Amino acid sequence: MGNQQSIARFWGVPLFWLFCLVIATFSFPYFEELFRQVAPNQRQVIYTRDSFFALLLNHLSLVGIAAIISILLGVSSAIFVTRSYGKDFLPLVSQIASMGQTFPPIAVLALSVPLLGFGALPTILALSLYGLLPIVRNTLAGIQGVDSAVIESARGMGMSSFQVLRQVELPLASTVILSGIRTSVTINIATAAIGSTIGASTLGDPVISGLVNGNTAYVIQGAILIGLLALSTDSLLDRLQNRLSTRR
Amino acid sequence: MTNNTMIELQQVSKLYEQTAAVDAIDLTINKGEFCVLVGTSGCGKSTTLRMINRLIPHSAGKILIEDQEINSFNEQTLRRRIGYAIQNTGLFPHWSVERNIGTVPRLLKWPEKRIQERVVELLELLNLPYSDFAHKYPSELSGGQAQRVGVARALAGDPDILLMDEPFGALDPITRESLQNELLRIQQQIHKTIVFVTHDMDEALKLANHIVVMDQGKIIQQASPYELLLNPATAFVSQLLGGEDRGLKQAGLMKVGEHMFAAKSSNINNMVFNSLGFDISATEQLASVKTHDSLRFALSVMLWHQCDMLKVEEEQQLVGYISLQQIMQARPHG
Repeated sequence: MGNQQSIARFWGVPLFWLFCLVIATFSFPYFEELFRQVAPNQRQVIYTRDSFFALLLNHLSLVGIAAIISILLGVSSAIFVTRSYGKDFLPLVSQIASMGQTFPPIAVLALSVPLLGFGALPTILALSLYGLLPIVRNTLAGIQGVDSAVIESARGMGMSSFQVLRQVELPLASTVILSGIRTSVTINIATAAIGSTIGASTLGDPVISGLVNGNTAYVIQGAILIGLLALSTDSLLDRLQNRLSTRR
Repeated sequence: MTNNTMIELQQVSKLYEQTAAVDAIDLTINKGEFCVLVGTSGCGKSTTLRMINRLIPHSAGKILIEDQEINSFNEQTLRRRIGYAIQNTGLFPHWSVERNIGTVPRLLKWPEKRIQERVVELLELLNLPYSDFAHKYPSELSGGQAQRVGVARALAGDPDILLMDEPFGALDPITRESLQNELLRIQQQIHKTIVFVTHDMDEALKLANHIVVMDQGKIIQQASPYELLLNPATAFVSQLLGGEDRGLKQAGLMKVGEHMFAAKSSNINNMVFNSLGFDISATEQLASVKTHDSLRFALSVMLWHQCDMLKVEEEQQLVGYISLQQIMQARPHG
């Protein structure tokens, strides 16, 4: 990957989706005629309550904050239960993580409203709980998948437990961990839209409002942006993952 | 205990629940000795090895390295002083060969320049050219190359002791043999104290100058290879030695060079040949062996060529002869 041409080719897919996302965010007002075909009976066919750009930023920051929380919590708890002093908790943690996935996000949202009220906070809570499972599961799989001979020789050469973790286990598990993060973030980009039902401002706003008012054009605008955002993030993380695994 | 002792185990045991994997063994390993622990699977040889660098804590007894109880050291400090090589190499797949070999020096906080010099030196010692191998990753190496790197990595911190747990067990016979020869060559240069675990008696006989036979957590016999072959202590030991195969194993330990008669002037050769009832004019067609080949190898060459006399050559030059009779009468002087 020495020259610029191959760098462009390597990052080409995520760049393409990002480009589409930016174009779509700013150009919907120019396609009013097109959207009128979809919803001919509506007085207004372009969602204007908030700018799409503001909704995009809000959506991203909700997902971003939730992702940081689930990564910190997920990776550290998986590390904890794979240490000798934490292995009693291994079954418990993997059970909780898989229960989290069977719980529908809308239920978490509904349950967290009485605790945290309406708005961004309950959405972040629901997203971080929901995104925890793939991260915990993949971090566990990644660490447990490291060849035991490699760990033994690391210890045998005099690495401390922390050095083994930091220099051997985590780097070797990193592609698997990153693929868990990728799954988690991609799912949450879609799930975050539901936050609009409890008052968080996200790209779900046009979708919900369109559904309530029977305005298909709004629904399509929100859906296109959510889709493009998911595609951009997913392909970006895919490239990062690829980068990590070709390093060895 | 003399000051020639490197490692000493006194009444060392390892208990799992109530069963003893290693049962009150006493073992003294001298400086510069090549000590091979041999036995069937589950006999406690690996456990014994791994108790020396505390990968497995011992349940009872004392383990001393240069007169100091190993539990008196910091665990990591102890291990950085002891080279460790294992069967599946345990190379770090995400690090280049160079970085792998530099592991212990880096843990010991050597300056970067010294680490690099050490890596160059070791790759050269193991016959892996620096420019070809330093930047490769373990997945790009053959089994034999990976194990060479494993040995280089174990030697990197210049430890006094080298522990090797069946390092050549997963290699094909040809690669294994060439690595055994390399290890013997290297040991002649570096004189480490080596503790080597194997289940292969041939490997033990070839490498060791001190063989420790273990069974069910106990030491059955310890002796030099010759002594073990001549006087196996129990039926188990002679079974490990391959029963009647012993004759061939013993011949495998003796070198042609030590038992041939050297080529002298043709007159003397004539006399010797006559006394052996051998026709001197036939020597041109004799098959040849080298001085460092084993008598076992020479015997096999004789069987193949259906003859009872061989030429001994070194670099295309005739240096002596060896006959079937000499092979049969050869006794180790070990």
